[in-house]
Amino acid sequence: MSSSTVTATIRTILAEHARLGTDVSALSDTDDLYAAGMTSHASVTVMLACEDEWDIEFPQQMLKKSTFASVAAIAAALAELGVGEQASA
Amino acid sequence: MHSAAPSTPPRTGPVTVRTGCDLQPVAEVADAVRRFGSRYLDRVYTPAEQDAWRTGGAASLAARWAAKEAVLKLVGRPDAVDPRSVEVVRGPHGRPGVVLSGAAAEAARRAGLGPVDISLSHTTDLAMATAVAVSQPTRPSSETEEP
Repeated sequence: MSSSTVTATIRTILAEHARLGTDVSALSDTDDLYAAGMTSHASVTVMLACEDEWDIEFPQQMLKKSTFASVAAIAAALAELGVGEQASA
Repeated sequence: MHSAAPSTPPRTGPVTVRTGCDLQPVAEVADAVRRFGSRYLDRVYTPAEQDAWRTGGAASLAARWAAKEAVLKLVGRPDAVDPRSVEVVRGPHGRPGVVLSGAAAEAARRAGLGPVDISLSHTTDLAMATAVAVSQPTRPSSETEEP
């Protein structure tokens, strides 16, 4: 799965679970999801949805606010867990 | 209002009262249980808290989530904290209490917090919690500070 596909899937998950106060398509990859209205509880459901989507499990040390702070941060965390190959330039 | 002059234990700073609060929509918790089932329950709530859910439903769980958040705000929101390290328990006369462990307990200790008191409430739509503790920083006697 390419990194762009991963990012698109993250956005789909956010649209369903993050309960943002704005349309996720209006956010850049680096916009702060918490500033956009995502609560801590919603970030847990985003995490669980990511685990379901890619059949992974986030280790406890990754379960911090910064891991789910933006689309790019989530993509980076997923990459650490082996999801999606970073597109080479 | 100023705190009284110290009379017993020596301390390094003034006594202060710290608070935390949180509000949680019940429907979001009910939806999480419906969508993720035991994976959600087991990652967030202790077995005893899950027992409360079986009798009190999603509103009971939402109140417990709110309590966890309120307490974490109170202790300074340590990073990568396991939500189960803030456990809501039933105290004497049915009054809720909280037991801290792991990173939450360590953050409370670092903040010089005394026992944490909580209060929970909910309607069918919303659950809320407040957490209160007295902070009385004391000079560490058995630990050394990193230079």
